[in-house]
Amino acid sequence: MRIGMSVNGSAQDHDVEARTLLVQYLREACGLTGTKIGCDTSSCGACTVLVDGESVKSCTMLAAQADGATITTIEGLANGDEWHPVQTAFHENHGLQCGYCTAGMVLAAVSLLEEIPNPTEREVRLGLEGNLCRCTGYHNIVKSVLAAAQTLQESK
Amino acid sequence: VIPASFDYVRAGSAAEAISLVGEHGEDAKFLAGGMSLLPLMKLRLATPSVLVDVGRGRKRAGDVLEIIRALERRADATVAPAHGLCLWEVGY
Repeated sequence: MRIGMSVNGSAQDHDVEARTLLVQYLREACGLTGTKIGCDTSSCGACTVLVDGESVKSCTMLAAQADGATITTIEGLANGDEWHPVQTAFHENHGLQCGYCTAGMVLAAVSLLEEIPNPTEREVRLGLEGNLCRCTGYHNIVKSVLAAAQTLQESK
Repeated sequence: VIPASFDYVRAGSAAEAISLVGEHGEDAKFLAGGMSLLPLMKLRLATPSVLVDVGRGRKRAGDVLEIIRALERRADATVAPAHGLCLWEVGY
């Protein structure tokens, strides 16, 4: 079947099998391998992307379900050479260890801060509940998200 | 893991969704968000031959608040009429 969507601002149009998962579509058809496949069962959140601005686990959504949608992956978050404040915060606060969960964590955090612009530490931990870090680097991830929230608040 | 092959059809209305599932019979399944059905399909615990997507135009998390504030059951969605076995009367 023919599907099309806007991925990181560029129009994509491909002929895919109905069973193609969104994560597969992004990685294989669009060549955007920043989105990772972790558990493949929607438990770990490594494949999190933004579909129409909201975080979605792309291993458990069909590409066909995203037909016509606007997708943001980790590749599309920065504005040219300028990182998104959440990316900067992860860098500055060492919010990653091996980095495998990072793309998903960052996008889940962007979606969380969209919903709760000024979260408490507890709200950050609850909000990122669906994203697992097997290095157990949660402490700095939470710190990064809180720092990003502050930067985003100050820039308003 | 990728689910087994199936046909994907998108329903434009409730009536169309019902008639599509009627047309394809037992092997057709409604696809709402897919967060439960797709994992089952990946494990081959469910192998529908047709998916009828009714999950387009879904509500956002924030809409739930509005629905609660409206104090009106129908602000959420139309409830399907009882179909099949149901309680008609309670008599004493």
